[in-house]
Amino acid sequence: MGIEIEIDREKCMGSGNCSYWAVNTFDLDNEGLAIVINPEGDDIEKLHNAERGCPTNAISLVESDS
Amino acid sequence: MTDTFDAMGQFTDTVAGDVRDPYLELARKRRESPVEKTIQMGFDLQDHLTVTAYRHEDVSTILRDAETYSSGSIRDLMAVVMGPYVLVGMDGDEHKRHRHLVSPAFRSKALAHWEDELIVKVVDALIDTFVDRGHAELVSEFTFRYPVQVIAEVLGVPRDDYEQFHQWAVDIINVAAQPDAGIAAGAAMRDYLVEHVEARRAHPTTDVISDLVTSEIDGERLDDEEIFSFLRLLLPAGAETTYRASGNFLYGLLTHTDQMDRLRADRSLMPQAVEEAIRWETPLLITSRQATRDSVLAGVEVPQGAMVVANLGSANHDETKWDNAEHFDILRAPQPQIAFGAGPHMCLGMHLARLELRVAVGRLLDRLPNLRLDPNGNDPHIHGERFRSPTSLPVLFG
Repeated sequence: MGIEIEIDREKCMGSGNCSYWAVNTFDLDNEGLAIVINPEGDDIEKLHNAERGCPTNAISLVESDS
Repeated sequence: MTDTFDAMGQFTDTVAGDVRDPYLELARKRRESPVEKTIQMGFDLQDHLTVTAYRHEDVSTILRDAETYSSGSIRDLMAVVMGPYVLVGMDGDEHKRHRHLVSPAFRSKALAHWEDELIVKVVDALIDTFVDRGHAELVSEFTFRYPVQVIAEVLGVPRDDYEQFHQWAVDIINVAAQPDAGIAAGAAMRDYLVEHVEARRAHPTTDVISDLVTSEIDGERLDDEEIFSFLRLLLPAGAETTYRASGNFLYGLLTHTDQMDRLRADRSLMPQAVEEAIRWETPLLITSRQATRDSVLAGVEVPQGAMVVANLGSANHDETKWDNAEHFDILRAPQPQIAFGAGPHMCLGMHLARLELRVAVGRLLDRLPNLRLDPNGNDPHIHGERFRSPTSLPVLFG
């Protein structure tokens, strides 16, 4: 079972908190909005912190069977 | 410096509140009246129904739901000192467009070059003034002095004028208690900024003022009043909170020497130590909103028009989120705290603050061996009800 990371770019405000909490997974793109650079870059604890630390609830972690 | 610091002492007592330990009472609020209705005098000096939230979950809800809980009332207060275009008092698209103008300068990667070019230099120059002495008072000689110099240079005003900035910051933040001084400081700061904004219009550089004079909203350049509003917000905001957070972090380490030893030996702990320090003693405890529509918070009805107060300090001590929340523990498992707020107004300067705290405390640990509180110090302690920081930090070293 894996984790899928979804970013709602309409909600994203570009705070950069996701890359603070999970620096190997998230970054900001040229528009200043969050992107996933490596879905397996950090452990699940760090991903949860990135999700909870997002100021606008733009990040969702979805468990997938694949 | 003495005069400036005395003014800060006065500020601490009038606005911050002279409370040594608010946490027992905050814990009682979380237990007995986590969302509490009272009548309080608002910024406009009228009585308002005020709803105060003490638990993490409700504080987070308020700050994240900016459509229901508006920042507009902050604008009404701060407009008299900062002008009408105050970022922290905007809502919705207007806020988004204005914040976008300055947010690139405050991203982690954009800030990285300031570490060696600016922050280390400012901090080391201050440490140079006491390193050979074997003792120092780290509030008046260090934490009070370095953040205002850093934010001045990031924005693009001469950091040599930092004592003047600090006085203005104190008066501006204190405007609710002493309106005349606050309004005068806002006007004086505006006059001071005129020549610096003019200079950047003629010759833009890489600082924030240059970003502002060259940027556009909906195809139009910002006018001078908009730029003055930005700067009169960002300079006090960048100076004041980081000064307090630095003192609190140092106080935590100096009163928990086993943790200071761990941090000295293992600097990879620094980021989580910074987060723990601002969770444990949050420098700015309270932020306010106004309800734009009827809502319900933890079963309590919040009518349209009510003032809504989020107690960040209480939320950061919520026992449902942190075990032994009252204890300072840099080794606890890292998780997001709410000292920087949440939602669209989440602290613009949080990455700069984290960087400054890391560098400032790191350089003290590098350069002051055997750093410890002076046992003959004058009962140093953290105090304050709205803002919190230590009264003093008398230390010995070497």
